Amino acid sequence: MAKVRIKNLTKKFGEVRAADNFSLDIDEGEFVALVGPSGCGKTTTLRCIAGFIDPDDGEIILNDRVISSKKFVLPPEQRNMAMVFQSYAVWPHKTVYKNISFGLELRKLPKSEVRDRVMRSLELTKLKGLENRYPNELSGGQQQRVALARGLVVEPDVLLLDEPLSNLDAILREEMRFDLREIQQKLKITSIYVTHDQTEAMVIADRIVVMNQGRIDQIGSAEDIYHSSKSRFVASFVGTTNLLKGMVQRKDESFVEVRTEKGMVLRVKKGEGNEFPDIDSDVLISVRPESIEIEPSRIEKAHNLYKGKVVQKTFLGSFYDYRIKVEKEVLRVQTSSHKHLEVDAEVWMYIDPGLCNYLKA
Amino acid sequence: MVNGHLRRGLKGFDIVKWVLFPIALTAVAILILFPLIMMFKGSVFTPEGKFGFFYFLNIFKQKVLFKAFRNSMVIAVWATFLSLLTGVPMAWAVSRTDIPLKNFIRNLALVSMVTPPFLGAIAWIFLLGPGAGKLNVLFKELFHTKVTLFNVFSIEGIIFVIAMYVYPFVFINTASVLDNMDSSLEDAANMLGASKWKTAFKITLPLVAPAIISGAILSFLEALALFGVPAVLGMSRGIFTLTTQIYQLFHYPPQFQQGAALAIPLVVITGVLLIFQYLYLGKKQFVLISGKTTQPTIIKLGKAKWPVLGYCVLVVSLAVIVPYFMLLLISLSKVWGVPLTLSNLTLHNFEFILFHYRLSQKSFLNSFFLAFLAATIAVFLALIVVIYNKRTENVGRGFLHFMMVLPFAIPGVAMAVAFLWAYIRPPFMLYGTIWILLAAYVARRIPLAYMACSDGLTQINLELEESARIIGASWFRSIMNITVPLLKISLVSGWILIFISSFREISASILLYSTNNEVIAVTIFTLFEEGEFEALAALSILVLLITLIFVAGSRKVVGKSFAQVS
Repeated sequence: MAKVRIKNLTKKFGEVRAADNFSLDIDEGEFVALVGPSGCGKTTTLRCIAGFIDPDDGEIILNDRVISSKKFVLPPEQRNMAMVFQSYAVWPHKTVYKNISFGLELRKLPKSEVRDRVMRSLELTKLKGLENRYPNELSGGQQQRVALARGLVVEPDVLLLDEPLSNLDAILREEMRFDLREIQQKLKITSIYVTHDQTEAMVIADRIVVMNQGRIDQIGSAEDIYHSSKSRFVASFVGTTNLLKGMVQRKDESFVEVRTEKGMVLRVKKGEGNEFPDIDSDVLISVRPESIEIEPSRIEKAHNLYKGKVVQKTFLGSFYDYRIKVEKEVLRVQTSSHKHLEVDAEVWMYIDPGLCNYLKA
Repeated sequence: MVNGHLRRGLKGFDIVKWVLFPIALTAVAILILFPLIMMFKGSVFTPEGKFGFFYFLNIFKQKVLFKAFRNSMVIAVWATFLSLLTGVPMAWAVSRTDIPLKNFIRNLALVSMVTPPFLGAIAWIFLLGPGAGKLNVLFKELFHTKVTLFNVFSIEGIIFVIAMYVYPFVFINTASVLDNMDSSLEDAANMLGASKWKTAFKITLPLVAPAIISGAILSFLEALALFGVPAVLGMSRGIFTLTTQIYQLFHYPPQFQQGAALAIPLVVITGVLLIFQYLYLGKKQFVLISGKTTQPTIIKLGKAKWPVLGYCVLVVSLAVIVPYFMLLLISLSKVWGVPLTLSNLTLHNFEFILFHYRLSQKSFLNSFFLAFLAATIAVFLALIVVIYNKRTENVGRGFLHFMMVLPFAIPGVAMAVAFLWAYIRPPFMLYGTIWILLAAYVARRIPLAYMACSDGLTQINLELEESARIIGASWFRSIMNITVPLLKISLVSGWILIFISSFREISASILLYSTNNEVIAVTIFTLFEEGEFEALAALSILVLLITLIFVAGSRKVVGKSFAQVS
């Protein structure tokens, strides 16, 4: 069980800042996910924590002990961590048993204890009965379980996971997410998970860290990040959204009225996250497609009610994905899969002021 | 990705800095750098210490030397031409047509590549020698004539025999590209209405051209560097090449400086062509392979398949079957020349060379000892350098890489010249001992081990090592427990390659051996000069047998791709 503190971590590759003044505190037993597009520096950060990369500046502290700084870097093997890689990195010349027992043999534990612990971790990762197989006789999912068991068996202070599910097929990936979460909850092991897949981060993590160009854009629970995105980047990276650019025309204590560049007038309720914008300031309004209501007939609302036209419709099984034209804006709207509207049909559209999120333009 | 920490070894003791680097550097200095420097130095200073390029100018001024230079070029160019004439059509035939016996032809092409060419040359003397060559005799009897069909002791004879043993470079290079080429490129041409012949010439041939040129360069370089064939077929008739002329210069009266100067054109030509191959052709070759596995379209030849098959079988017969059969017959004869009857056959020659002939016993042991040690040391050193180069970030990696592949560009005779310059006098007096042979073998063949290890390590994902580090293994431990076991196939294949080629090495040995340190190839050469043909043939058969056993073993270990390296 361990606490990890990252203070002002900076790492440059040439001119590129892979980690730029990155600071984060991770609690004992917490499961944190670093999310971001490729090249955002999430893997670099993780590899700094593992000790594979020397930081240019800043510190990484494990339970009050500095393990990485500009001056001193503790080698990976002395950090008592474990890591699961995207490539599985299961050793092909060792059996499943030998893969898992390797870390324990390094610690010179008695044979019987090695056996007990290997067996327990086989059970935990649902690999029982496969201990004498070689990795090439296993499926991708089983190999990744071996990698996980190999890490867990040494009872690490911190578990690092670098896109562990990216090489698996969709169905297996979804199943493994829940298994990973379950195991982490059972062992209460401090875990740091890197992924470019925001849905994966939402399923797995207690807290999500959205990274962009080496910096942290936002930290929060899945709900925070999704509903109260703090930046244009977070809003568009996490899920899909409509981004409307405009200017504040009127303002009172709990509402602003924004006129978008393409002619929509929108009332937006004051939220908790971002700074409430002033009159005449430029803002960006984010509206999630499923927060918009559309009806073929008039909806009884005083504000934020618009008349529009269906431009495009796509049936996606669990929902309809419409493009609705209002004034000169085209908005993406998702409705239940039973709300069928024809292309070119006139519709009434309502946007709840409380479900709009304002961002800095 | 930067991996600063992989270099940090045991606590307080930097294993890379204090063990790996010194070993790699010492090896490179002893084996490659020092000999080459000494050779270059030797070629520009007179024994009195006067500096100048007169020894180079002599190559053009002295008729004998220039003739040797010209002969080498003529032989290499024509042998390359014949290699193209045989290798390309054969590659196409086994890869893209429906002729039978494809595997037979492929395997025999591999056999001719691992056959020591000077054994082929000796065998051909018995077939095409001007007086008693079996084919010449047969020709005279059949046509009641005194005209000789073909005299193998000639420039043409040398060209012919060399071509039989260098064409596999073209063949294997071309065939492997044809095997792997995305045949949809050809299908597209067919769909547009091109005939199968037109497609072959207009689409396939240009696409395969880089591979063909690359194979031709290897054939050319091998033809240029060979010592045994021109020595056996040329020297007795006054026909000299660069390699045999160098050999001559080191005999009485020795002209060490001139020998060094004559070796340098060999090194330069080889170096330039290899750099060309690497820079220009290396890049062009991979574009053809799409990554999808598509079955190449097989052209149905109809009746034409019999002449095509005949051509392929003729080539492999001339290169392998006929000479091997000849050597076998001679090795089983009581006396060569008497009519071949059962009562004239004997195993006595094998008994003689194995149990009664001290020189062959001695050289067998020496060759085994040297090949075994050379392969082991070369693989060990190559492994250390490769790990240093690819798994640390310390200084000198580029330099070490260059030094490790440099011997590719140094023909055996030139390597021997360099070693003579470096190790014939104090402070490093290795000449006269078996160790100079060992050092030369390691130096000549270390690129094979280096390339095998390097390719192998490139395919090992760094994460395999990192996942050992993070759960508690030191850098050294992760290399020993994870990397080295995973490299096993590369190490074994490198070892076998070096063993095979060192076991029958002649080009460097002929200049570096001394009494009591004879090796097999030298003994065969001695037997040849003394006219002991039956014993020679028996010894040759044993060498071929051992070589083939190792080749077969290595194919088991590494599969088909093995055929591409020699």
